[in-house]
Amino acid sequence: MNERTPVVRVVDDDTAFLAAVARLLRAAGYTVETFKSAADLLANLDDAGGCVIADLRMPGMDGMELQRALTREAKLLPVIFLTGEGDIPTTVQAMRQGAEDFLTKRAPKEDLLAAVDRAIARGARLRAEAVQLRALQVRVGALTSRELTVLRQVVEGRLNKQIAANLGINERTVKLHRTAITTKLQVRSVAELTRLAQAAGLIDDRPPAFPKGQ
Amino acid sequence: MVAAACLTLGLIELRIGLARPPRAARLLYSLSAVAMAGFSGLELALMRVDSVADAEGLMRTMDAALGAIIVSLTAFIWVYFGTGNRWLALTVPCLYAIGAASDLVPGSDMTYRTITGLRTVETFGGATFKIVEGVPNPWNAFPYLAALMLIVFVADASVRLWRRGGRRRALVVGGSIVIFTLAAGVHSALVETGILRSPYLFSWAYIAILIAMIDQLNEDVLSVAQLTDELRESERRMDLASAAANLGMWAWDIVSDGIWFSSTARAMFGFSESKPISFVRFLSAVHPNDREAVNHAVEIALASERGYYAEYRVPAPEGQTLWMVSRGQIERDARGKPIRLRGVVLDASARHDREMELQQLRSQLAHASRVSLLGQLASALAHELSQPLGAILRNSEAAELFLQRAPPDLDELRAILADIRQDDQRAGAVIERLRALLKRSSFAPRAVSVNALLEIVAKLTRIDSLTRKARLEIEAAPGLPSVMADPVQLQQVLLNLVLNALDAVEGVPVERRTVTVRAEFHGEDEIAVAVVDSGLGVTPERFGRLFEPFFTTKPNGMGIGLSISRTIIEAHGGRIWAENGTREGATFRFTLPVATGSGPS
Repeated sequence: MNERTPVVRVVDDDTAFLAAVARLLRAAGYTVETFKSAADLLANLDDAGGCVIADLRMPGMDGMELQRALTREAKLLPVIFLTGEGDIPTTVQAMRQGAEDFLTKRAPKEDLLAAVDRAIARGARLRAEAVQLRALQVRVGALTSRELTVLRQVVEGRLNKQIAANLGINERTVKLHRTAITTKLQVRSVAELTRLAQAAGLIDDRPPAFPKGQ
Repeated sequence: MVAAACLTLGLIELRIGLARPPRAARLLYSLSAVAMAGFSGLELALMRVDSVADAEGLMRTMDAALGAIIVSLTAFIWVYFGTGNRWLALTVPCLYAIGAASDLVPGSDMTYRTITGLRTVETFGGATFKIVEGVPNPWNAFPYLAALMLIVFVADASVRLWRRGGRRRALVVGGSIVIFTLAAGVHSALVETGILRSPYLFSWAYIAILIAMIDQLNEDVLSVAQLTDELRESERRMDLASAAANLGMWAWDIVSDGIWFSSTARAMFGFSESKPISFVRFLSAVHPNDREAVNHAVEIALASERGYYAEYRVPAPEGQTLWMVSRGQIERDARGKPIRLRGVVLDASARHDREMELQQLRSQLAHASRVSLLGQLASALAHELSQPLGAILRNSEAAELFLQRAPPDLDELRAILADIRQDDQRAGAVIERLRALLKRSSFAPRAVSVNALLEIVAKLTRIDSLTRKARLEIEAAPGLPSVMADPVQLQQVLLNLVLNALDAVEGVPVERRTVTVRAEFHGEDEIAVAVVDSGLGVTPERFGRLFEPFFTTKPNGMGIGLSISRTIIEAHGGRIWAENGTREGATFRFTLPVATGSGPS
């Protein structure tokens, strides 16, 4: 992935406010792009990382809808919402829908810049994780379907003997599969294997259920 | 004695004739009476004449006087009866003039070719008088013919007048003239042929006319007196009625600039004089601020057929102010020139006070409802304010950062300051709109541009339409004139309707949420504003109650908005009503009268 400078993208239908925010961010050293509407931003989005600052209330697509669209298109761009005073009901609604960063339009500069930094960092982390995930998926893709079945049972905490019984195969064959899995995925412990399987989406995020006495 | 009576009556008629119609008849009659007075003087002189030459001169003068009598009597009947035959009337002076022409021959007169002598006659009492003797002149037949024609003319005119119903006049006046002419004619014929040894005594015969005219005159004077009584009575009745209704009457004689006021009207204005007063004097009684309006109303009345209507204040001596309402009609002469403005004036102070009180109540209620309206708009307005304020903050923060650089970017700093100023003005405008709505003001209508008002309302409701994801469209017909309205109250009505419409469209899918505000002509002298929504419409059972106070369909509604809107629109002389769209939604429409004398705005 290319390591371009993160870009702060500001969306607001109020041109005066848009210009003012862009001016401040540029003066603070950020690379800034401005958009008059959510649709404008979505149509002109490049690969550069960074974050989005959006007005919660805009004609056409509003801030929340923009965030959903970005998530849908897997653009890893955290969104900072700006709201006018008195927008409490909308803010509450937005927070219920999982929005993270909220600032009023007249929040102190330090808060705004800190939020931008946070968002850029989170964006970078998301992008890094995405890179790792894609590498992982390549490794997981090398496993055979039988090896995948064995892997699921291993991370569920089953013993080789149980797996052999479940699958109706020799316990030695199970051991061979496990060696192939650890080699292909380049892991050394079951704990590491479990974390990896989780990251690759092979199992639920829920902690494994303890066997309830036999 | 006869001369004196004739002169007196002649002068009386002359005096009356100058003042009262029928002027011409009275003047002609007095002319004949005066001529008769002269004639009887001449008769007297002739009785005492000493020389033939003097007698000749007197006779000629008498001919002229007699001519004046005959002609003036003819003309009098012609004018007074109005039924005479033109040709008969013209024949009388013509015949007499032919006879009188012989007076122009020296040494002779109309009666005698030559006067041979004077004879002294003694009366029974022993008094003596002279009689003229001479050779008769054949031209003398003409005055007799003229007298005959006079009798025919008068008799003819009298008969016609009798048939038309003027019996008394025909009998008394016509009859007396006929008798006079007959008596005078026969008598003079007897004297001139020498059958009767007597002086000319026409004037005695004229007494018949004198008596008749005195009688007729009495009749006239009596009827005038009666008429005056009746007039005075009807005026009293009128005064009583108008005083009971607190109605004053007035009439302005434009030509002589005198305004007559009834006693009620005089009391209203505090005029002490009972004679007519000038327009300027009247205007000085009107409140200085209203004088121009009164003048304008008069100009309109003079220039058009619309009549006179004015409302103005009159400062009363006790310090309070009276409100007058006055109406009038112009009267014009045959050529259309205004000659009189006549009308009534009403002291409407009590009504005005009541109206003011009502208006004040209405203003207070409207204000209360505006305050609650602002409650609905508050969050939207806070957002509207936070835009420019936020921009100002960011710009000043950016400026601080630019200043830390060495050297600071002065161009950038200048641009920042310009932007800050502009945003400050924007915030100020939002506050100004708010303040206008919050202001507790009395009803103050003026010419207001509907388009400008629609723009303000669109700005005030922008955020609300955004929140509800509805499209707000403004459609104003081009060239709409101003309306006469209180801008704040009109804005309130529009806000009510638009906010209601925005609430209404929340019930339909986002892509169909539209509110249209449309301003257009409604007839020639009204403007209609329609607020059309794409909501679900109004259910039939709610239609009749929409504008009732405290009727609401909203969970948090007070039911004030529409009822206040109706009160406001009706106070502006307009109407407001609701109707459902043919396919969807509801339309709330109101009309307002166009401001008079306003062009497109």
